[in-house]
Amino acid sequence: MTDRALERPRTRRPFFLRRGPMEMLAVAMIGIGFLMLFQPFAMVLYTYSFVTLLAGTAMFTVVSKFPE
Amino acid sequence: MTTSHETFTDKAAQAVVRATPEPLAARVRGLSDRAIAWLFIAPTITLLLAINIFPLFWAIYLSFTNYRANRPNAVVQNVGLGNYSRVLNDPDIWASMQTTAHFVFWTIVLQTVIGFALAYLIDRKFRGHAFWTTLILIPMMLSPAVVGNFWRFLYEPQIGLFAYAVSFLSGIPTSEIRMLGDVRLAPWAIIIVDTWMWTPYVMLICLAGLRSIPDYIYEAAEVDRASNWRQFWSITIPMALPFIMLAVLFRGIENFKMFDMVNLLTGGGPGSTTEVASIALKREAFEAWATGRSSAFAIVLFVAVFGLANIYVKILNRVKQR
Repeated sequence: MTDRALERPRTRRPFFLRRGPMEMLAVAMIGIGFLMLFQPFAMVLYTYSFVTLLAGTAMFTVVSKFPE
Repeated sequence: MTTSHETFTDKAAQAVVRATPEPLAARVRGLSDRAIAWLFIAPTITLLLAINIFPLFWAIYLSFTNYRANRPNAVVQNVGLGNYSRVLNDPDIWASMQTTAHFVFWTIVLQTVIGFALAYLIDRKFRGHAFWTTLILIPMMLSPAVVGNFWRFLYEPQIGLFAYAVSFLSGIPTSEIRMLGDVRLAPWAIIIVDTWMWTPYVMLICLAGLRSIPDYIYEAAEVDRASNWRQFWSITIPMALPFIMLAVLFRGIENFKMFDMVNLLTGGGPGSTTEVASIALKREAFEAWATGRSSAFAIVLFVAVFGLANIYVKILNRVKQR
């Protein structure tokens, strides 16, 4: 039996179902939301900070349950 | 001897069985291990639900209403996202967020730099290092109420030791060193107190990180003739970095919620220069009595802290994997 035959068939999950990149995306959204909440430059960024934070946090909660 | 002991034990067991009401005994005998485990943790779960979970959901509900705690009999109306819209378009609340950011940023920078430097020194294991470690740790063991009160005295322009020391070193008259009354100095007064109190905590975490670095790595670096400076940047900092990040996140989450110290030292003043988010929230809730709006404000803060905690858990998992 060759090594190639022993290899398990690799199933490629789509990007939005992969834990690693989606977790990174959620963390980035939380980070951006955080900066928007505290920045002193534009009121409009402050206004939309909560939505960004909420979306990032909800996304993190969901994608952290995906398998590795 | 053994027989008499067994007899005594048997008699005692029979007495206990007789004293136990039959239905209860039957019920306990019939319970599975899992059921008994649930029985033991039920009080804790009930308390957790009553004290943490229920108020959270109640606050979420109130954040969509015009409820005012000082008018409990008034008709409560649903205002949809109105409270969130007001909180997120209020320049005063935005200013309080900026004050919080200023406070959190500088306390974390100072505590991390000083905390790591102290940990690095303590890790050298010089003579009497245990005594100095204990001495450095004292501030973090004190109650924030005690710390707030005695720093108020220390900051007093006329009788305070802090003003006297600054005056002695700089030549500025003590009457001009009004740490809690000057709009430029008051935010720094709080930053100094928080740094004084919580730097030992950061030091402890950094010390754990430094002690976890194996000696053989430094020995190998010395064999390769790496300088102390090179060892510090290539071994010490990278290997202690997860611990430093942990300390930063712990302090970030804590300082974001800071209330007691600010309330005791300045109460948000002078004006609103030290009005951090938690003080602004208290004013909305218990001075303006806008309970619905303050609940929305609290939920915004909760989501921010929860998001930060998520990042913290992710970093913690990475630390565990190393």
